[in-house]
Amino acid sequence: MLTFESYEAAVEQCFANGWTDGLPVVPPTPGKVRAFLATVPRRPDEPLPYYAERGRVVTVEKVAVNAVMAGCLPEYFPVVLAIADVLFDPDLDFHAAQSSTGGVALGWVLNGPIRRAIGANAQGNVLGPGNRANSTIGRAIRLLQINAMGSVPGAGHDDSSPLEILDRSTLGQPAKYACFHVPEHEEAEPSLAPLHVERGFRPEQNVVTVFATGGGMQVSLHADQTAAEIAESIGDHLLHLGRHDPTGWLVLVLTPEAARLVARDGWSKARLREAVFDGSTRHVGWFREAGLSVVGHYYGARRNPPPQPDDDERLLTVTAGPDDVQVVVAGGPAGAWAYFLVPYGPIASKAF
Amino acid sequence: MAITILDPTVPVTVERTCLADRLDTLDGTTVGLFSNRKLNADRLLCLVGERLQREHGVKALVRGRYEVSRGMRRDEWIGIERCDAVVLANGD
Repeated sequence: MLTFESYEAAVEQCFANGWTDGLPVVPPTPGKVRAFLATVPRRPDEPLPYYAERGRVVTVEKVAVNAVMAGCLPEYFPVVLAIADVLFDPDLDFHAAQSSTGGVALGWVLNGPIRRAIGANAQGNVLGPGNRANSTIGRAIRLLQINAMGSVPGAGHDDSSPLEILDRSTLGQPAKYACFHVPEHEEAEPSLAPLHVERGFRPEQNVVTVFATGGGMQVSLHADQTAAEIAESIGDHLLHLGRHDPTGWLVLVLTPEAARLVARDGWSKARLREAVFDGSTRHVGWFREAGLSVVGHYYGARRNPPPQPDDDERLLTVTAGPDDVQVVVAGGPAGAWAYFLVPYGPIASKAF
Repeated sequence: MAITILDPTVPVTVERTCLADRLDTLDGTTVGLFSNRKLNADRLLCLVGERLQREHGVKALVRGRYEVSRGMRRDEWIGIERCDAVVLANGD
């Protein structure tokens, strides 16, 4: 524990120690941290699984300390801890999100009744700022990465932090401040099953789905009048994105206006997934004839042999299969948009 | 008014291990070459393998790969039981 003569001095010392994301933090007093820990049935000294790549043993209390610093309220802490549990799962591989030049950001989808209980925003500007739960839960995870997991940025100016630099992001991305935060608007289009139900959980369960992503793109669907046209527009964007990956997944955020069209035509999320997958899948020969670089469109070369220009019959897909297109309904009431996030690591869910 | 805060950082906890026995010679040995799948890692290992066989008498090579962004896991050590020594390559 460290003692300072004033609140302001504590905040400034957090800057000096490199314990921030560049914004002021809330000083994590013992009383505040205790209030957070009281919201979960876990011991403060309970270790999360060993983070072997950086040699760290992070405890539940350290997660709480960083959640306080991010500006969370105590009732957000179960969500923060559930995301951390996924992050430290030894069967997954989130280390690239700590270290890669690819500027990887984390993201999370939140489902279940806790969304409303904590006032998370699933509607207008859902991916942007303005809601305390969305922003500070995401920031808590980022501060956890920096402070507890050693993902300290600053490559190229090694005196930027007193801590050892690990995050070698060449460009970074804005979502590295507070993650991609996606509470699903489950009530917007009830005929479309929410993501956690599609992933095998019960509707009444609280679930986080956590992923590492290189970023995303917004797609206008305003000219589309049918579910089929929506799927075609999304598929067409994906087709030209250069991210075909036979082991990949996508998070596809669909706004309520677009979701309404999908539901009106009697489509389920499963049918939309199939159509998006089919619409973004082509043979190598199609890319060649279209004058597009086959290798440039292939993102799975580390795990699979890359296609050659004469592999005309080989199919290139944007995900491993249709089921790997994860559809989430969220956003404001007006506007037919989609936003897709591409993989840079695993995706996994946890109920809590 | 004075304020007390908790430290948000976590110290490094190194798992203590010991070095494997060093080889007296590479002559007649089998060497594992494991790549992290990054561009040029395989190429570098090919060059290393050629040189080990040409100049140091290495008898056989075992090749393998592991996931790019983490340490090797037990199920990726394929063929390790046949190796007298192992070289890992982190290309980029």
